[in-house]
Amino acid sequence: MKNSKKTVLAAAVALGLAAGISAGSASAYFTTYATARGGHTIRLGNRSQVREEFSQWTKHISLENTGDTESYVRVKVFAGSMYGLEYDGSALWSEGEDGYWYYEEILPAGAATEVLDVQITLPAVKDEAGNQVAYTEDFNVVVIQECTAVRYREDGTPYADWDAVLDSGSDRYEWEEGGAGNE
Amino acid sequence: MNKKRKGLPAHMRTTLLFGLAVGCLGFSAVGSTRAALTYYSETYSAQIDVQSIGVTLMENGEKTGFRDYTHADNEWSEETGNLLANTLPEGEEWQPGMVYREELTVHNSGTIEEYVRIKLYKYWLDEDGNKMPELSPSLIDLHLTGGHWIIDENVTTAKVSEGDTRDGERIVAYYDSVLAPGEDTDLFADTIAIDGSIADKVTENTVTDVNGWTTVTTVYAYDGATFILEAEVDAVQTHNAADAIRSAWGVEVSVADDGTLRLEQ
Repeated sequence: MKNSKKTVLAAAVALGLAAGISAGSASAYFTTYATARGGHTIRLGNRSQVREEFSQWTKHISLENTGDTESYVRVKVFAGSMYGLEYDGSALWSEGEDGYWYYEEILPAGAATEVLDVQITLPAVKDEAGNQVAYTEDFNVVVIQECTAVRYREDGTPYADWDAVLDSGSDRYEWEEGGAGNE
Repeated sequence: MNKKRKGLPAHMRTTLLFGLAVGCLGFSAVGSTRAALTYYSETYSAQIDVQSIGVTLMENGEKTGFRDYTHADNEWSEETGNLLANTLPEGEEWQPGMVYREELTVHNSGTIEEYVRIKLYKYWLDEDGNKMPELSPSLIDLHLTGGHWIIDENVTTAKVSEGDTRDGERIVAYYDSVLAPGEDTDLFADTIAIDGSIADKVTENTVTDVNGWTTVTTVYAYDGATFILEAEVDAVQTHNAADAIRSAWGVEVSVADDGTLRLEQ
């Protein structure tokens, strides 16, 4: 009887110890994680410059993309109403309803357009005898050029928005201290 | 007549029982030793047992970051992924407004069932790698697909859908179903685009000279900025899931009989 009690006690102690040690394992959970990160730099800011040569009363106009990003470009020529202007040149140039001539293709950084010729017709001048004489007045024919960013629709179709209004408002948000990217 | 008891004498039985007890203790200790393989991360700790848990973030069908426990080697196999690395053809630059494929899923690369969640951050860095809180994360438009992914509205600060006015960096979403070994979740996201309106965002600098002439210079606010997408995928066992998730992730969930997970808000 005495031995039997000892045996039961020893078994109880052993089971208790086993249960105590196992309790640590019971609270273990399997977990893991994976991380990834990446991004791209955005380039904005379009610049262009006009190149023109003059010969035989014709301005040979080409626009160069001097910025770091692709652009759309357009050009407009101004002169007094007595001077005639006739346009000719590459089929990539087309006249818009607003008097600008638009270059159809996207102009990559560093590239130049094909030439747009603008022929200037001088007013006819006659002397007192009614004979036609050379026109000798000074005058200006002014060329202005503009560029704008190439925009894309969701399907990837590029387009130009010549009426875009610049927005100088703030985009600031509440920075989450200690969050991502703060290492 | 004395009846003799058959079998072992009492002292031998005691010895045998002690032997068994010691054996039990020995096995328990082995179990604990296994359980003591502990990994510490920045945010939580977990005890790891011999079964293999693993998780992989997939981008456009390719592995892009994983961490798997390999039972045979008794060690972790892991790699941090590079998101968006193969989005652009060689030599091309990212075009604002254009929509690019960005299919994100989570793959169970372990040998046990698991629940998964994704934590995603969007933000801008300057050329020196510093965060730019003056530029909006909401213009980084990662299109989420919904489906089995539940947004944790308590901790999500970023825009997650059209019309959402939130403008923070963080999205946290839970996959509501059990992910079996070898399976992928539904798409978490399918496309990414940078809002074309960044081409109109400028900062103005006004300078007036001694003659009273004022020069206003405008600079494109997002020119030269780098947008960042950062993701962390977490996985946890499905056994005793509610307790495991509370312990590992610190959130309260309920689990339906069919295994569907629901966040307790």
